[in-house]
Amino acid sequence: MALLSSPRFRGQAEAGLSFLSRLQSAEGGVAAWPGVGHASWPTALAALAWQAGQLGKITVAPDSPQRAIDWLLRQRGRTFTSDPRVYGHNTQLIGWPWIDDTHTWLEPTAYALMALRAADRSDHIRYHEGVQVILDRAIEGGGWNYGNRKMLGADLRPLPETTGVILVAMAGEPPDPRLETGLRFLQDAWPRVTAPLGWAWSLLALDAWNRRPIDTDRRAGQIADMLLGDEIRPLEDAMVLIATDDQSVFGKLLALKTVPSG
Amino acid sequence: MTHTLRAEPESKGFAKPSRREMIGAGAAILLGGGAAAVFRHASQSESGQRAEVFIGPAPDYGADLAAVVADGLRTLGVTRDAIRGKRILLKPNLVETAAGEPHINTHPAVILAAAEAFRRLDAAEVFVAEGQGHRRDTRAVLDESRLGPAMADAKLRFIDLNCDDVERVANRGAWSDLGPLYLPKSMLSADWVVSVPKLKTHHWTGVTGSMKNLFGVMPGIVYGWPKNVLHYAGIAESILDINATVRPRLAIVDAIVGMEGDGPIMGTPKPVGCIVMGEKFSAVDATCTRLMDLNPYGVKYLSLASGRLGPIHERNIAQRGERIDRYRSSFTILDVPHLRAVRNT
Repeated sequence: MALLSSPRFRGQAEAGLSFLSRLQSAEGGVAAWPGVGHASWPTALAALAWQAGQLGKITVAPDSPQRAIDWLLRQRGRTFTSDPRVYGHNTQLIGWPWIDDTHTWLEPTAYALMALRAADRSDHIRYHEGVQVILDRAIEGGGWNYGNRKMLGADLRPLPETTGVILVAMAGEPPDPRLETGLRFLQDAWPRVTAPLGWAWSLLALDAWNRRPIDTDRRAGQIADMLLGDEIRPLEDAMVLIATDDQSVFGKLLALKTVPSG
Repeated sequence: MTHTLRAEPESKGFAKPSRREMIGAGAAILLGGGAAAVFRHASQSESGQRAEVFIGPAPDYGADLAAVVADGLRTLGVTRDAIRGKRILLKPNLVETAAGEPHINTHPAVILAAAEAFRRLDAAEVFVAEGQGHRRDTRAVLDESRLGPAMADAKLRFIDLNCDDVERVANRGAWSDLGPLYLPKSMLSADWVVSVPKLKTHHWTGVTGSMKNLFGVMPGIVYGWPKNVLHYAGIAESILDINATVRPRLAIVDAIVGMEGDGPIMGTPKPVGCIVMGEKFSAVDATCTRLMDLNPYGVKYLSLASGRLGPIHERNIAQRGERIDRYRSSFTILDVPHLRAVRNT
C-alpha cells in the first residue's frame, strides 16, 4: 500500500499484490505463512491492499478482494461464558480472532472493520458488532490494548499502537465518550511514542480525527533518521510512509481525514 | 551446526503419566478433591531423577552479575568445551512495559551478564530472541524496557520470534491438543536455548519462571497476540509440550527484584537478591516457587512436569551455591479460587 502512491514503484506494488493472491486459499483466507491456514489473520490487510491496488488501477486477481471479504464475514471470534469478576469485557460479543477458533481480539477486529468499510460493507451486521466489541473493550481511563480491559479486578494498561489502529478503524463512527477518551490518551501519549510502528498508527489516528499534532513534521524527521540509521524493517518503513503521505492510497481508501472536528 | 531438535532421536525425554496416575487424578476431581488434591497426587514418581539448582547472590543490578552467572555455569558443570563454537539464544521475558515498572520484564543487566558469561566461554555467537505476548510493536518494547539500547551497546543481535520464518515440528509432548508446533527457524538454528525469565507470580498459573517463559518462543504470526491458541489448549499442558519439544538447555532466573501480587504484569516489585540457574527447568521453577514461599505441588504445570520433564521434590534437587532459606521471601498472590493450591498455608 505504501508503494501504490508512486508510479515509480508500480511494478513492485503489482508483484506484492500478486504474491498475496498466491497465498490466498480456495476459501478466501490469506495465511500468515504458507501451509498455516488456521492463521489467516492477514486476510483483512490483504483485502485492503487489493482494494488499494484497484484504486491505483492495478488489478491482479479480480475476485481476490471479494473472496477475502466473504472469508472475513464467515470468520468469527470464539465466545465463552465468563464471570464478570474475571474478565471485564463482554465475552459474548463476536469480532475477529487472530487465529481460527480463538477469542475475539482488538487488532484483527479493527483490520476487519477497515476492510469491510473499504469494501462498502459497513452496513453489515458483523461490522456493527465489531464496533460494539471495540467500544466494549475500551479501557476506563482511555485507550485500548490487545483486548482485555480488565482482568481479575485490575484495570489493564492501554497501548498507543493498538489505540492508533483502533481509532483509524473507528474514524467516521458516531461520537462516543470512549472514542474521545481514547483520543485523549493518544494525544497524551504522543510525545512518548518514539517507535516507528506505534508512531505511524498514532499519527494516522490523530490525523483521521483532525487532531494532527503540531510537531508532526519535526517528529517525522526524527523517525526518518531513525529508520535510515537502522536495519531495514519493511513494516515500519511502510507504515511511516503511509502515515506521512498526505495522498496515501490507504487514506483515500478509508476516506480518512474527513471526520468533522469534534 | 548442531540442530537440537532434529539431531536428537525421536524418543521422548520424559515419561507419560501412568494409567494409575490418570485414574487417580480423575477420581480426585470426581470426588471433589479439588485442584490441589489432583496436583499433589499427580506429582508422585520422580524415581531416579536428580537435578542441580544453583543460587547465586546478586543484591542489585549493579553487582558483577556476569561473575555470578559464570560461577553458576562452573558450578553446574557447564564447561568451555560445551560452549565453544556454539550459538546461544538468550530468551528474556518481555511482556509489555510501563513507566517506572521495570520489574515486569527481565532486567537488561541480567541478559548482558549471561551474554558476557557465554562469550567468555568462547561461544560462537550469543543473541537475544523473544516473541512478546501482548504488544506487536517490538521496537517499542525493546526501547521502553531499555533492553534495546543495552543490546546495542553490547553488540547483541535481536531476533523478533513473533515474525520469524517458521517451521512445523513434531510435538514431543502431546499433553495438549496443539498437534505439531510451529517454531521460529532462528530458534531452531541455535545450539542452546537459554531461558532468562523474571521471578514472578502469575494470576493464572500461580508462578511463572523458566518453563512458562518459553511461551515467548511461539511465533505470534501463528499463535496470535496474545497467544490465545495456547490458552485454549491448556496453559499447563502447552507449557509441557513446548518445553518437551524445544528442549531448552539452561535457565537463568532474574530473582534480583521479582514481582508479587497480580503478576505477570500488574504486580508489585519484590526484592529477593539472587540469580537462580539450572539445567532441569522443573527443578529451577520448583526452587523459585520455594523462594517465593509458595507450594510447587500446587502449580499445575510443575505438578505435571514432575517425574516427566524433571524433578520438583526437594529431596531430588541438589541445591548449589546459596541456600534457599537465605532468600526465601513470602510473595503475595491473588486471592482467587484457582490459586488456593499454590499457597503454602
